[in-house]
Amino acid sequence: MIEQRPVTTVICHIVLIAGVLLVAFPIWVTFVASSHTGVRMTQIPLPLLPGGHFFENLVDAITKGVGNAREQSVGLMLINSMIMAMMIACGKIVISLLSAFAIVYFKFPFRMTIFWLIFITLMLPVEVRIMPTFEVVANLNMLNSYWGLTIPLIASATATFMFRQSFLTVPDELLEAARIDGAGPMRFFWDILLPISRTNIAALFVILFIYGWNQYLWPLLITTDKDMYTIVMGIKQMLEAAEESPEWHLIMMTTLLAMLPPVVVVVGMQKLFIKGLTETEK
Amino acid sequence: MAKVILENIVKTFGKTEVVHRINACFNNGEFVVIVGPSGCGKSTILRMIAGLEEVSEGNITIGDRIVNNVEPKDRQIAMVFQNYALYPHMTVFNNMAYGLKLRKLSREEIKQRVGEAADLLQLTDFLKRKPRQLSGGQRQRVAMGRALVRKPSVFLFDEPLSNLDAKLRHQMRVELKKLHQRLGTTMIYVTHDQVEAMTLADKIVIINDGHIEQIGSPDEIYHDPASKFVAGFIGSPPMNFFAAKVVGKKMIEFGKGTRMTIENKTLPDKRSLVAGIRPEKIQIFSEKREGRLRLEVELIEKLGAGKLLYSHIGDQPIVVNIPDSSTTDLDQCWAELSPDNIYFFSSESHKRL
Ligand SMILES: Nc1ncnc2c1ncn2[C@@H]1O[C@H](COP(=O)(O)OP(=O)(O)OP(=O)(O)O)[C@@H](O)[C@H]1O
Ligand SMILES: [Mg+2]
Repeated sequence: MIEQRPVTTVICHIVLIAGVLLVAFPIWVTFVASSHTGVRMTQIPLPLLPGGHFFENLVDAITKGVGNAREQSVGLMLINSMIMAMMIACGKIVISLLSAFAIVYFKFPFRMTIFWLIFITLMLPVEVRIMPTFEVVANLNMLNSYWGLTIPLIASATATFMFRQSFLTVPDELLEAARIDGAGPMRFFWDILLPISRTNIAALFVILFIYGWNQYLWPLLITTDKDMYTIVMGIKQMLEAAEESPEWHLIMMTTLLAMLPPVVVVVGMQKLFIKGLTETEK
Repeated sequence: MAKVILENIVKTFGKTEVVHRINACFNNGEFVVIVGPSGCGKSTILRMIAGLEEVSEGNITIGDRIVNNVEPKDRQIAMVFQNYALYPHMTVFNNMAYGLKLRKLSREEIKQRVGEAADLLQLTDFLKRKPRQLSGGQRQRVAMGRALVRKPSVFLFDEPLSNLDAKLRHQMRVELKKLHQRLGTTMIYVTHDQVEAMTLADKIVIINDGHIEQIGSPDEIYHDPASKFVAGFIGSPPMNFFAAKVVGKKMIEFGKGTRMTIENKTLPDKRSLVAGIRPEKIQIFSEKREGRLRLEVELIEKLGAGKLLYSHIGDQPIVVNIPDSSTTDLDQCWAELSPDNIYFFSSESHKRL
């Protein structure tokens, strides 16, 4: 900060506080709604202060489920989401680490062509290639499975690119020292490259986990079996209660639950995350 | 311990040839310093010996086998890099032990070897630290330790001291020399610093633009340079050079009409040549005498021990190194260039005549 006058400080704080309120208010409403009974939520005006049914609703949502015919318990949806997000995040990291390693450290024909091909796929997110991808997944009999949920999303040009950039900053001498010490390519990868990319991996994990967790369109498309529903798409299904009015208190509770794991991941890995984005240990 | 022989080594990067057919033989236990200006190919030569760079042509022999196709780890060499190349995430101990672990040495053996090296290099207190918690000098010693524990037959150093400050550099230089005396292992050391070369080497290899200018002991290189390049490269301040003409049987002329008789030396039968004399070999006197040249002092640089006097003879600049013991009055002085100390070089090939 260049200027430190009181007026500036006050203005800064006002802007920041306004921002926080803007972001926090919907979450507050969600929380309030999840702590009232279903009946209260149909009455106007909607409450702005929490009621006393939070834990009841929590147990209800996790065990019995929500929606039309109590189709699926939120507990199972959480587990599904967790598995999907983990598989996507870990898979993306493993694959992009390996492909970045290959691109940076091995000389093979059409190396740069391949790199640019990967890079170009950045322009093709799931939504663009959704029809052909669906066809492929359907033909491979992967509908309604964890593989079907994750594999089409698992290659990551962004992560490959990030790891490539980070590997390029590793001094050549490090590789040479390892060669003289007798480390082959995979040893070098495992013993040296991986540990020094630790913070980068953590940062990417956070981003990719949230990416995986928030997947909506793809799970919606390929899961018809209720046992495979993920929570983010599940919430949408809950709203399609045909006869009854939506059970807002439970839906909001589910929303709250859906927000939780990303928060846990971010808070838990915050230190590494920031390190990974700011400093390089080389 | 091993001999290293380079036979007709050529290195090309793409179409550019950077090392031109060099031949050299380094004996067992020798401290060899490869020295030359930046970009002349020193590192490339060293890296070829290490196996980090393939030779384009020729053979490298270490010990008694040709190692052209041998992996670096199997060449029984250890290398210290200019930027140390320590593994940033490993402790000092693990940095040194890593190579030994990969060679599947027993735990006790590793502990013992690292312990010994740490003792020798005064690193015992730092074994648990990471490289980034060390000073430059300590990192340098860790890099040295990592080479030491391998017990190689040849040590390779690529400007290992150039990132240190002057004082530390001097100190490490002395330690390195002692280390060599203690171990007696062949060491090949690359530097562009001629002081390091002169002080450390048993044998100096002077490289210029990818070829060897001269190989010899520091004394030979200093007193008997094979070319103008060597004469100008070794010695500080560098040798004074004058374009000169042979004007008589025993007479040369340089500058505008400054003539000098050369008594006890046969002059080469060339019209023009380059004469050189080291600044420390020029004597100055307060009295004018036959054959002495008048010096107009332009600048004096004090070195602490001695001074440097800058002047011109004719239109050619000259530097004279004046020892402290000299009592000559610098306002009125004459230089005497003893013919014994003058070197002649061809003005075309720059080779010594
Ligand atoms: N990988 C490479 N590709 C192409 N040219 C290279 C490569 N490595 C080195 N060179 C060239 O080879 C020549 C010699 O390089 P080298 O690194 O051996 O110089 P050096 O004598 O060690 O110089 P310095 O004292 O600056 O380290 C230089 O002209 C350099 O540009
Ligand atoms: Mg170099």
